[in-house]
Amino acid sequence: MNRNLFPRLTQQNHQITSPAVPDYNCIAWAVGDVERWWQPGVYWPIEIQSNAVGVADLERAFESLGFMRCSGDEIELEFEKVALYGDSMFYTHASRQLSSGKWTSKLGETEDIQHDKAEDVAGDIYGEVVRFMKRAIVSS
Amino acid sequence: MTVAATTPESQIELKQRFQCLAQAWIEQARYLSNTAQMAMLPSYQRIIGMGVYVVPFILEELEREPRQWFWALEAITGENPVPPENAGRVRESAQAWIEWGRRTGHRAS
Repeated sequence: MNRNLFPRLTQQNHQITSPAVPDYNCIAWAVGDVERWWQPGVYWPIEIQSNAVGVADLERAFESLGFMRCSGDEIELEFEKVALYGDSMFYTHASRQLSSGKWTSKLGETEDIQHDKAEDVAGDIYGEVVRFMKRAIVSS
Repeated sequence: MTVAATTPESQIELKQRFQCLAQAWIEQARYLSNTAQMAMLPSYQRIIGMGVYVVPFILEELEREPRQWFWALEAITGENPVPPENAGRVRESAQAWIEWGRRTGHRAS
């Protein structure tokens, strides 16, 4: 792990939880898909231009999956939460909250990690957390 | 599409240049998930700028390790041989491009 790119990650606040595989990215992982690399114009939940790669475009994709904006990262037992990250040009990352309140991220084509807070992977290449979203957990 | 002939020497130079740029891109893009962001990195743009000559090298790289070379291949060739049902599936997409390369003479059988 290149700590320069993840200045907020420490040995104490994260752990690697999978081998590195190129099959899926963080957007897929945020919704539990480990078979596809989600990208506008390639594989995306809504019809969208391939150059629609900003934070608002990512938010629309999550809205199409039943997520809505929420105020923060506190655990709400009836909801699953995701955090969206970005900068002025691109959406950069998404992470998902676990039932423990910790977060899980797929880091590009490398590993999945579990981290204490959504902000732990922000601060450099992923920019900052720009949105929290939630959707109701449907019990099966 | 026809591939213009290059001398063996220039082929070696091209391959060395590609490998240098590819290594830089892999290092820079390793943690990124937005393919557009990955494709905007200068090393990737310079590979696209090398044109059709680098297609065999990209296919060789894809065969070695599947990763997000599809944007470059599509930009250079204007093709997309990945069937819709495999959109987003990285290994299947890589395989579709490798087979395309064999069909079109960009990759040895």
